[in-house]
Amino acid sequence: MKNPGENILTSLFRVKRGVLLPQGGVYGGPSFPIWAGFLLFVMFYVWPLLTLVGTSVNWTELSGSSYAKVFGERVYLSILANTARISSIVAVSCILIGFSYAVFLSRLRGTIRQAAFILGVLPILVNPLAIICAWRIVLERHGILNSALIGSGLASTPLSLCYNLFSVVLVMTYLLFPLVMLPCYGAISRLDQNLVAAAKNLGAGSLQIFLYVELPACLPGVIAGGLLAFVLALGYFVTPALLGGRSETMISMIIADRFNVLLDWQLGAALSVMLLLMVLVSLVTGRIIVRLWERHHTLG
Amino acid sequence: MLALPRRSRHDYSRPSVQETEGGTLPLWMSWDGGLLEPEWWVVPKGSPQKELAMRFVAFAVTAEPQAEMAKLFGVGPSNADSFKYLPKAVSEELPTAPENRGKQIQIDSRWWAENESRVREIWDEWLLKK
Repeated sequence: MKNPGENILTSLFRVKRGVLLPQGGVYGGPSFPIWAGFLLFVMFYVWPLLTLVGTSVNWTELSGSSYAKVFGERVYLSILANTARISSIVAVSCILIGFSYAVFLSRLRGTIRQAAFILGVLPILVNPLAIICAWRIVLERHGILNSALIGSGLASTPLSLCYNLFSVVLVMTYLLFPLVMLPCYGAISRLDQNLVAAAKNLGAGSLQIFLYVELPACLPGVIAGGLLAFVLALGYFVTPALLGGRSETMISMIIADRFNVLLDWQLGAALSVMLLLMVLVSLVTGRIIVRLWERHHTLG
Repeated sequence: MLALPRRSRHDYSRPSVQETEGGTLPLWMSWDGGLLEPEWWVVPKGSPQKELAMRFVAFAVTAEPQAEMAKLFGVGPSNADSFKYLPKAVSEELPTAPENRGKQIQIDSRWWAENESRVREIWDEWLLKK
């Protein structure tokens, strides 16, 4: 996957024995700004992360009691599994909706296309809290949607649309689908029109063009976007807290509770480390899948 | 059940509900089986005005200021002598009034301090059950 950022990275760093080293004097000047960047990185990223790990083992005590609790009490593993389950459903629906929306956009022209594009990126432009509250007004028992359904005679009693898995997945998908839509839309827009013309020339129908030309061009975007949606969904807090019901407990809610209510920082930090590990495992797995797919693709 | 306006969960004392409804709701308070939980005054450790703060706390928990608080907000005075300064109409609506206190259970804060983390785990697990 080539991206424009890669050029900047290779001009700033050189790789020596698999380790990233800063390239000295990129613009002919001294190389200290890069080290300043590293210093900021260590101060504001590495150090807080070490603090988190340190807190989870109670620093010098090196106590594994909080981890024993995470693995010993069934509740924590259940909630971690529940978090992964909800995030997977969200990632799959993000892929389906994001990809479909990108294809839909590519079929539009002119002002309508621009308007539809803005509509598609609205979830990342508007404050998520406002979005969540707006959805709540729509989905509630006596909300806009239920009133409309009952008023028009389509339903006789209010449907349970809010405070369940449906509302959590719907709103999380709404918030995250641009992550899949944008790379797919970019891939389709940048697609060499000669390929489409050549496919047409060789007798491909619109379905075949879609399946054999447009879909493969989008796949890297689908995988990367879906993975990103999954990883971000793992840490979601406000949406399941405000729109979830009894069974939509996600790990971030428990982390917040252990830190803020029980003041058990050690357990909260251990659960945060578990969440971080989940993110790392998903990213590495995703990377392996992309590698395998690329190898298969180039060989085939 | 009554259709109460949406408010924060601490805000359902009868005077505050009556106020929003213009005093027209036929509402009475029942204290049977209620849970009593005390509130605290806290002076931060190392406070530069510790002496003044302590004097304020000592004043705030005396009978008369507590009675005034009850008249204003409808909260139960923690000082039993406050009820000398309160008319019957006010005191019968307060959770700590002598006639209401016996109907309620005092929350055992010490038990909760020791067991809350375990109770939370059981609760969180129960929530996940289908």
